[in-house]
Amino acid sequence: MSQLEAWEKVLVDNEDGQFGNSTHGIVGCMICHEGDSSSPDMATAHTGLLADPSSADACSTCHAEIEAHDESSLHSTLSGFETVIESRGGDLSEGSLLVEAMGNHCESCHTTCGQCHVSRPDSADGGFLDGHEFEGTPSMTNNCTACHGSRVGDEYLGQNSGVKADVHRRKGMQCYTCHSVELHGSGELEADRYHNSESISCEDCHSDVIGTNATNTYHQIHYNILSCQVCHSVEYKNCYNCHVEQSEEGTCYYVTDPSVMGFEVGLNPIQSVDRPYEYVVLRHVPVSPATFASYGDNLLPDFDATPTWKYATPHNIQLNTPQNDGCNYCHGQEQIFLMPDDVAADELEANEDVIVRQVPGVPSE
Amino acid sequence: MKRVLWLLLSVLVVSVFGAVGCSEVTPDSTVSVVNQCLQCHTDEATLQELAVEEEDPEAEASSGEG
Repeated sequence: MSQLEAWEKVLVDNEDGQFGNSTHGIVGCMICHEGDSSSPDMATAHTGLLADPSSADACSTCHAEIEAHDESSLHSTLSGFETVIESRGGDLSEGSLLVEAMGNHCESCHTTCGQCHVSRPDSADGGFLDGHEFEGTPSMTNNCTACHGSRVGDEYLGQNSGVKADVHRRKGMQCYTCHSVELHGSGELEADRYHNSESISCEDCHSDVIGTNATNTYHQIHYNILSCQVCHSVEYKNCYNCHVEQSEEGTCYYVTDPSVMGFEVGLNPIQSVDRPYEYVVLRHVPVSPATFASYGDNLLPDFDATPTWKYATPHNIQLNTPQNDGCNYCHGQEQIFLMPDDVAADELEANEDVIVRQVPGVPSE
Repeated sequence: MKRVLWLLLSVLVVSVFGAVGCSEVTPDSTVSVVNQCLQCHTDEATLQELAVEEEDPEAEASSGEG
């Protein structure tokens, strides 16, 4: 993603009335942005201006149905953060230290209608996507991977050293090809992205090769035992030890350890009807007992209640992978599985339910 | 009596056209408002002169992949 100069970020493309005559242009700037357009003075004109009107529900005037639905989406609520913090015993009651920390550090990831459909997200420094044109489909590079870049984006686009781009990317698919309706939420508050009734699944497109009637023997044998990624994903980033801090000047920032490439198969921590697999791919997430230590002591008192190796769906799918080259490339291969030795000593208890103690043996002929 | 009726009818017609004329002014003023804002925001030179790059102390202080 190329960087925009400050002036480029607010340059409206109105050549030949392109924007002024568009549906959104005709209603007039002040309808959405407020401010005072009658003044030729910049400061006065910008008094009361809403740079991102969608953050003040301006879109609901015309798009009430979509906006009402979107209010429950993870992009709006960030409820995934709350889910994991509460699962580790964090206190998110009003006025708590963690609510303050969330406001300072986590809510910059919140996005609005405008930050997907008009501008780049604020967390990626903003700026119009295309001269204030409204884009029905967000841009993969300027919107989606602007936020979801370091893991998903790098995987999907093949930017991790030695790892090819995802096969779907190589077929020319954009994020939106798979992730469409779910991005506006399911209409119900979601605990995290794996609990969204609108989520896409591999079966939605590949039903002909998945299941007990599949012609592929491996697919028949492993159906609902392995998630698709166990056989079709390759090395991905794992992140460790995110700490949030505040400088004396009040600047909020974070520090994480360098990411580590790896591939670990473990036991499914969120087994359900929709995700019945026994084995799944696990990714270490950037959390530690001291993540919020700068705000107070022991703010995650039940840290071990949730694994630090989390259910993952790496976006680097390949048809052929080292582990699906034959039975013996997975069965009996401890290096593929998350074994006790792969887990930091102080995280063993947290990951008790996902660590593999006994690697599946080599099948008999 | 007939003249009075014609007079009343004329007044009514003028009033109706007058009202229509007023309502037509509204979109014009909207368009002029749009143009007023667009005057600066479509002018590269003006924006280059006035736009200020905001500092991002959070990004500068942070390290590692977010």
